[in-house]
Amino acid sequence: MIDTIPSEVINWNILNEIISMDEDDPEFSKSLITQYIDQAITTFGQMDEHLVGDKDLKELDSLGHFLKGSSAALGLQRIAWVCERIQNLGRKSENVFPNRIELLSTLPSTIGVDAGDLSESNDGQETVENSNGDELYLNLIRQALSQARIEFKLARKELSHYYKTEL
Amino acid sequence: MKRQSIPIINSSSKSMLLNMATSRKIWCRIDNSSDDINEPILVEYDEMDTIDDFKTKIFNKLNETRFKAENNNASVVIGFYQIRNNNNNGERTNSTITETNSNPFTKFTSGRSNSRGLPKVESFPNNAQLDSPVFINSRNGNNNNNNNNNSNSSREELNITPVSDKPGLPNRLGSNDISANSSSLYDTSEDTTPQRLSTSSPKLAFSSRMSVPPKYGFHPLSSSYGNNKNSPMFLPPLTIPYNSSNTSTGINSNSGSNGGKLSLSHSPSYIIHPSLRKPLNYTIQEVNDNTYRIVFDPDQLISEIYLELFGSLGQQSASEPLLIFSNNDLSLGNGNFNSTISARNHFITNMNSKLYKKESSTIQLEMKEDQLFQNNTPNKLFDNNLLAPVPNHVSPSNDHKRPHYANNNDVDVDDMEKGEEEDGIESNIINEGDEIESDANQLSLNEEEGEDYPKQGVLLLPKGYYNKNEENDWASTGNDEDTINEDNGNEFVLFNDRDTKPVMVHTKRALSEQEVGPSIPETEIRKPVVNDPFRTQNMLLNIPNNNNNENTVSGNLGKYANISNVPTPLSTTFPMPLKMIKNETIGVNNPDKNNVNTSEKVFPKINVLIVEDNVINQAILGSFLRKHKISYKIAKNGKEAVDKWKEGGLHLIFMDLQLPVLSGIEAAKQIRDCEKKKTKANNAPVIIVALTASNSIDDKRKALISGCNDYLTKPVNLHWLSKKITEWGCMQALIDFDSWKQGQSRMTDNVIMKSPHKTKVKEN
Repeated sequence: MIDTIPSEVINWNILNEIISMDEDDPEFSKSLITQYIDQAITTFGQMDEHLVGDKDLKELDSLGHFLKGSSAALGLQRIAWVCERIQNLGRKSENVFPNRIELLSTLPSTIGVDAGDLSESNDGQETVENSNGDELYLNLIRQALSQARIEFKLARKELSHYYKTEL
Repeated sequence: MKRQSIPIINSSSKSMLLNMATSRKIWCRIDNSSDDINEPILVEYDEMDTIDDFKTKIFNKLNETRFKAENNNASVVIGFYQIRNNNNNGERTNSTITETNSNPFTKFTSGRSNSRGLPKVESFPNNAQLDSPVFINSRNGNNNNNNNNNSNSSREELNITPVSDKPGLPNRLGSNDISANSSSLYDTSEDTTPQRLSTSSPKLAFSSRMSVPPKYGFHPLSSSYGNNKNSPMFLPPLTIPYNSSNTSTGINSNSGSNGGKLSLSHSPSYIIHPSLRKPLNYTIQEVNDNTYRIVFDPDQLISEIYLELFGSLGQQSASEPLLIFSNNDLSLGNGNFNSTISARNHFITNMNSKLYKKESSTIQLEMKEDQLFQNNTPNKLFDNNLLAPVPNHVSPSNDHKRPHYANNNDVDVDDMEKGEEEDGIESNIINEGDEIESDANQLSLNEEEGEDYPKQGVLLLPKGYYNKNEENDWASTGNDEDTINEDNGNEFVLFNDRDTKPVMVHTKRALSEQEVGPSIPETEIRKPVVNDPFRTQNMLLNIPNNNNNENTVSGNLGKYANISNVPTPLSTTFPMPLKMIKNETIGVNNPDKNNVNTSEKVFPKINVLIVEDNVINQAILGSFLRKHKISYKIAKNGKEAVDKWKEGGLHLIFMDLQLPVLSGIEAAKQIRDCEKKKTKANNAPVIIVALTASNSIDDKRKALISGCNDYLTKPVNLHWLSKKITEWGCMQALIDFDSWKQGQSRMTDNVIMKSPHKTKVKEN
């Protein structure tokens, strides 16, 4: 059974561990975050390519795993959760992905999701029908990827707020 | 209990050495074996072994014997018999089996009846063994007992009702009204044959040292097995220290044809013996009128038991062994030549199905099959004869109650069994599952215990977790003598789990910002470690935590700034000596600064390889190691890892498992293979700690099989990381002491810290 998505965008317990290292290496955490943002964007792009191009589920699996690792290490737990779904869908060990409304409803009420967050993430929301074989998983991964992008935006927003700069 | 008074800082490394040099052994003997020859065995244990670990060792010792084939850690308990001081023979009424049981325990009590040569104790009913009223302590309401009862009556009526054993229910203690408790009481008409007693009981030897307060241990139990009594029994209310929410179960079953009533009772309790510094945790199980059984909790340290029962090492003689109780009345060895292990297993598996068929064929009532099925299911789960019965709703009119092969109708079923049980011993069934459950309850109830020992489950709470109640717990156990004085930065208090005496450390300056680090509130130590069999093994070596200063936390993690103001129990321990505060040491490690980095004191000097494909994680781990002045290299994939390892000089590898090019598993395998090929005497094998992304046991198992020594779950908790570094670094240091020692003065400094409980170290 898939466990539910964490409610909080950022697990501050984890991120604070990283931030605490800023003490002898100022800007350490911030540089990590910047690095992560680049990494995430790149990874999302690679996922897109695989979804459209070679439809290589294995690649999607390892990309999901890859981004899951760094997301989790930084405490970006919702992204990590979605990445894990992508990983598992790539392995075909799961065959469902919750819909967006359901997932966004788990967010704490303090976090507003505005239209900007949802834009450009319309792909993947098409119905998963007449899909057989790998198509089913690819479609689900499409959904998951668009969700990952939403989560990414939310996390980025929260991080920008914390660092008081636009990240 | 001297060990307890030594700060763990020192005892840690010392005990490791001790464990290497001397072996701790304890005599044990298998109870409930009907074999004529059943000698005690000497089993080794380690200082930090719990009863559960100890069981594992027993099984290792009993390699390939049938006992092992039939039992596992969950199905055996360790303990001994204890004679009740006040006999209640007066309460015995005209029992149906009085003629065979009229002179109970005369031999049993008079000393150790050797199972060999001495006449069997005729009067000891078979229920004295594990089918005796075992108290099942259950919180979730599944409370069942299967008992084989001695009775001449061929059939008994069963009154089984679902349990509601919630604390506070009126029927919890008074067994007068036990309808809420369920039991299944099985009787057999064959059972009046007395069982021979193959037990030499250590109880007499024990009783002088470990007397159970009458309040708990000696309440008159009106019933014994086969003793059909009409008078219900009343237990005195129990006031149990430690455990306010203990549950007590009474069992009351109607013994049908005789109209007798059987009342059993159980009071799992934590008994604090005044003379015990740390009370042994055990449960008392009534065996019968005169005898009860002390059964140690799985989390009880075996070394403490030894200390309490026998004194210092080597004092125990073979004639006073601890007893290993199991569910099954089994021979220890292959007494029957025709019963090989495989045959036995085959038999067991067959038995269930046979049973099923047999029973269903003899039962007319339609519900029977369900009942049997229910009873058989857990049976299979436990892979032995353990029955963990589910609440059965059997109407009293059913006269065929037992889903159990010991029924005399089932003679054909257990031919094999007969061989061992010709004296009428029945295979015993106990609801061990519930007992385990009760242990789990105890676990959670005793916070201190949970903290102290490398049990399989270390309580893990979220970072920053602080529980007011916990503090109170600590207060009550005297472990919070001191609190961190936030105002005085020059002084911090260190103490450890065992020792209530804090070690005061003075430094000239308040802890500087350099102290910062992956330090995490101490409360975080209580974090759940995945309960995993492998884990236990890894943790046998109880290498203490690295110290994390609270001050650090407050200084740097704004979020937790308040934590250090709260009197928080520290369970800080130093594997390395505190006395690092020497200028030359500082000069070497930390030329730029005048301050002492705490981590330098703890972290051994080792070379670490990080194998991780994600740059972010590399950066985090790398930064962490840099902070602790641990030299490290980074490899991006398994192939690189193997190459870097071949360059040599590595002590510790943190290996991500899912890597491009060559997976961590493969890399670990290759490294181990290479190690086997070239066996340099001097080079200790590298320690590989797997970083598993998932919590799946499968991954972990794979990692360990491939040659990893340990694992951490990602995202890596930096606190655990530092623990692992300390732990394995120390291991390496011990294995390869000479090469490690160069440039190290820490090990010898340890001695200085060892003697006084309270030491002040001034920085010069």
